[in-house]
Amino acid sequence: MNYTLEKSADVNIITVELVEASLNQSDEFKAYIYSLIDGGARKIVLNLEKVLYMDSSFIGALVGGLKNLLSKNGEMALVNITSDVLALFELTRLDKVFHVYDSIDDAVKSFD
Amino acid sequence: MVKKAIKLHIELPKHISNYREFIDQCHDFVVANSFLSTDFKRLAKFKLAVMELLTNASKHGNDHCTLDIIVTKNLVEIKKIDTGKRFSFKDAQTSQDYTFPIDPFSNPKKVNALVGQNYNINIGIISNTKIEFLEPPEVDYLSIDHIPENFGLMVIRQCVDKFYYTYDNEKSLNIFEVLFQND
Repeated sequence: MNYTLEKSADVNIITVELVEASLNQSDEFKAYIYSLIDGGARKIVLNLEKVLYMDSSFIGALVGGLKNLLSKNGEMALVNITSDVLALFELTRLDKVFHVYDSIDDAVKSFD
Repeated sequence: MVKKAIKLHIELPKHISNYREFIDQCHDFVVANSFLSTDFKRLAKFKLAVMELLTNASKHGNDHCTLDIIVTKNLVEIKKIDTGKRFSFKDAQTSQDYTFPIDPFSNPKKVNALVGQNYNINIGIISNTKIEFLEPPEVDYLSIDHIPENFGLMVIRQCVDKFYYTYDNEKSLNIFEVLFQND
């Protein structure tokens, strides 16, 4: 499985178990996030510590997931973004759109 | 430092299952042969540009797709050539559709091009078969609904000094060309 899910109270912590997050997984990832939201998830933390390479297709899937979640009054936070991936967020100005934290604890606390 | 052009030629598979293999191959080549070798910020952008060109190849490349890196003393050039569907766009102001070769072609001009939902990029039309993707203005997303879900061309443009698309009408080839210039 490319994603592992842990729960902390009502927060869904998803670890992306991919070194490369690209076009090959973007549709699958978007469907996964949508299914969680359809199942009632409203607070989602995405742990990206294992992702060394991300392309625009995968970041587009992230945006799609965020749009869906926000439309249902949910919240999303990203944690442990590696430097090359953070550069991609900065280039697309999405570092201003997503809430980015250094640790899962910080992200979970941000929902309080 | 090189005196004459050195070239790396890669034939890309139709389905790219391992981006890292190609990115590392391109990275190692420019580190060994170009002025980018000591500029870690630009090397990171070089890798992002290669990754986006690989994604473009996977999405639109059709059966035959190649990636060439050509290094000279003051230039690193990446060319992605494919036989897929030719690039097209719409003028966001006039709704005029453009495909290649552009017909009728008038004087060179700049166009705010719509290339997907909520996805605009500035294009300079150089000839009836060649355009340049221009540096985008600062983006402030007005709301979540205004954020596009496609960013490929924007990412490439932000990473490089020059970014061109040429349609080779005789051979029916799409040629995406990016340049890194030695300042």
